[in-house]
Amino acid sequence: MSRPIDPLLDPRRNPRTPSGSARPAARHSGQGRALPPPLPPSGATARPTGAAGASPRVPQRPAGKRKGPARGSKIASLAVSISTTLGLAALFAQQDTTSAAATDPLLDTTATGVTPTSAAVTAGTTSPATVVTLDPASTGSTVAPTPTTAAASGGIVDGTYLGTPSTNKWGTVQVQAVYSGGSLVDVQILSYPDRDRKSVAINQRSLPSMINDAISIQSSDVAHISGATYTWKSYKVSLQSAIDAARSASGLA
Amino acid sequence: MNSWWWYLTRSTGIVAALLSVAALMWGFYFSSRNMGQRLKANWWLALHNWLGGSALVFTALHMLVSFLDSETGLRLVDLVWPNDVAGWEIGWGVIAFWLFCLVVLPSVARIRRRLPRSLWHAVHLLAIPAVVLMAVHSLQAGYDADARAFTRVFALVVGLGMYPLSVRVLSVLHRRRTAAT
Repeated sequence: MSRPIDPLLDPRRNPRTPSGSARPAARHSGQGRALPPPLPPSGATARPTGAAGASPRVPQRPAGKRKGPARGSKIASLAVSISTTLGLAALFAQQDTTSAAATDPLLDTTATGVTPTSAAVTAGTTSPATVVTLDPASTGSTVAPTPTTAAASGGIVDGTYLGTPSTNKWGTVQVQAVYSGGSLVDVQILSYPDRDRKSVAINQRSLPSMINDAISIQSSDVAHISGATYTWKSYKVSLQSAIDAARSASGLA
Repeated sequence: MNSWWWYLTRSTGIVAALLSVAALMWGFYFSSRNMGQRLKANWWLALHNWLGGSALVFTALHMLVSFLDSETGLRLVDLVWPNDVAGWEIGWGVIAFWLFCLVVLPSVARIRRRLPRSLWHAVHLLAIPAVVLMAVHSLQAGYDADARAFTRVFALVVGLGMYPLSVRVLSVLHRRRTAAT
């Protein structure tokens, strides 16, 4: 990386070079060669040399030392940093608005007895703060399931039971448990963190596995899925509350 | 506005990481005296100091913005002390921040003058584990860590950082060998 030193331009290597500081100064000025001394003004007579006629001394720094070294580079780095920060933020915003899935296979907006509000329809296409919310007036069947023979046999009454929303730092998870024949037959996802592509990708990979796991073990104690810890925790909380609601409604609590 | 806090959290984190790596690379170039002849040593040193200070400022900005974003759920204590509630993917970043403070603040001229050089140098070397922890934090907690562009930039930065690191290691080895003979 080190460049060979030109002895003609480096006064440290060539002390015989006259006016050692003039050449680097000329080099820094972009001329590439030493400038001749300034000419006296036209019509001016030669001044006598001596203390009285000498030009005022200008304090000179050693060659290569400036008061604010790398000033231009500092300003440039600051400008690049700020513009990169704002540019990336704008890029992320644009990505989020264009990439959101309009048809989300995980969100069950046609769940039995549940009519999502308008927020649910636009979930995933708007800001990260958007979560699916449910209209309490339309969820009557989830809290008052129709008793069936399963109740008589000691099982859970068939119906759909709404779990409480569980919020983690990436968003809200809310599920509802569907019981039929006294057993858990389906878990419907009403909301999950979907504020960017990564969240959507993680949850679309992990939630189906959690749903199958819950149905097979008939419990909310699903296996942990690496990389989806927050969703996993919130899913368990919401599903457990739905199961508790089902047990309570069936008189098993 | 809430969304913009989130976007700014991510962008300030990325820029802080890049500035940290740049400051480290500049430091390696400067300390190994591998600076060429076109630019003076004080230029390298001044820019190294500036990049280090900028990295710390952007890191603090990253923490502040992530705190202001209510969606992250981060508490004030999560930003200053690593804990299990926030998770260690955040904790690595907190430790890296304190290490950066230890590296940058004693390098302020007034403080540095009062410190023995060996002590200052030992503390200054903490920049290396700080950058490593920052990389771990960005890979574990970064929302964009799976993005292809992030992977490419990460590989590029690691590749670029290897050169000054190896130059610095070789210069130390050369100096020791010279001193031994």
